[in-house]
Amino acid sequence: MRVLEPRSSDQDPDLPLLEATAAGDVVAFRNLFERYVDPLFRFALSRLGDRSLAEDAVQETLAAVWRGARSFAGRSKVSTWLYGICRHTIAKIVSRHRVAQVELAGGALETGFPAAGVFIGCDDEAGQIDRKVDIEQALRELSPQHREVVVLAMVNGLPLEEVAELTEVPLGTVKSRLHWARIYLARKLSDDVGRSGLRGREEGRWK
Amino acid sequence: MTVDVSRQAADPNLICQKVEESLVEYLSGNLEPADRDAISTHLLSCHACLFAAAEVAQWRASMRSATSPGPEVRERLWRAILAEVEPSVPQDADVRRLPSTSGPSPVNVPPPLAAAGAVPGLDLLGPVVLWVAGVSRLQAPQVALALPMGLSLDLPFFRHR
Repeated sequence: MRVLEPRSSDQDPDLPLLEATAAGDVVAFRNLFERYVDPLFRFALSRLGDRSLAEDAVQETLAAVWRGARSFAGRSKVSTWLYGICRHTIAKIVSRHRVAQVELAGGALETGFPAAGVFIGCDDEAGQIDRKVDIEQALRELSPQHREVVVLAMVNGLPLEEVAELTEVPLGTVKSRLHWARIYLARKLSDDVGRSGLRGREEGRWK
Repeated sequence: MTVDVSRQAADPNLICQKVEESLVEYLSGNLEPADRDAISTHLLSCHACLFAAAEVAQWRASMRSATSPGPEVRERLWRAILAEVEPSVPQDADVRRLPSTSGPSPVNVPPPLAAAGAVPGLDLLGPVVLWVAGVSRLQAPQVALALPMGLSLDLPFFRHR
């Protein structure tokens, strides 16, 4: 009986960068920045729903990393540590700006996600038949917990064990959230394909 | 997760279910090579799972693209962070020679994929979707060509074989 297991963690590739950063190496810090600016931005954007605030969160997070690199104790992967700082920073920004991680009246939740547009279609003899499927509504309707797992695991590609550690829930819960989020997205997007075809990207933008 | 993904497994539905549960980890390059290969083999013979994999890859590509900060924001962030931490930056650090921040972040792209300059499956999974779904007759021949090309273009389904 073969067992599917996550890849065993080799040496953390970010550790040398963080150690060099702790020693004041700006180039190493720049490399760390390069590796994490996009994933942290996406994570913050998914929680804050505003590009400007997400930018603030990333700035505060990475500035804190520069200042606190020496305090990294190695009890987790560097990436988990970074996301943890970002999560804490997001919480501070939410408090500071009273950002609604908005719970809408019907229980649906505001993601602030853009109408990303999933393109399933192609050109054929008759001309262009691009069918854009808007995922904004589907993501909006996910709970913050499910959305967080989708962004961390599906979009940013974090191993599920790391997502569990970061979100402080059991691995089984992470798997369950991802499973149901996937089913929901598939069902929702499949419905949208049938209903609305060309509805898409132009309808919604970030602030 | 315990599942036999080999051809000898008794229940094909169970295999598909377990493979689908592992697709996110598979596409992220987070599985052990043996498990990754087992799933790749399964995807070669299971159109339903291949379609599911393509679907997840499409969602991810769209979300990544739409939520990227973009080069201007990256550059602005770097300058802002540098200004914020400037008092503690060593005086001899030549920040002017630091590389540009343009371009996608390599984080969480498995080394073999990063080396190939490809996010897992994103470039070619679109055509694969078309191929599986049979959406376009016109594109089908192109996809038929694209798939063998994928063998050498580091498409994750067909790597490490």
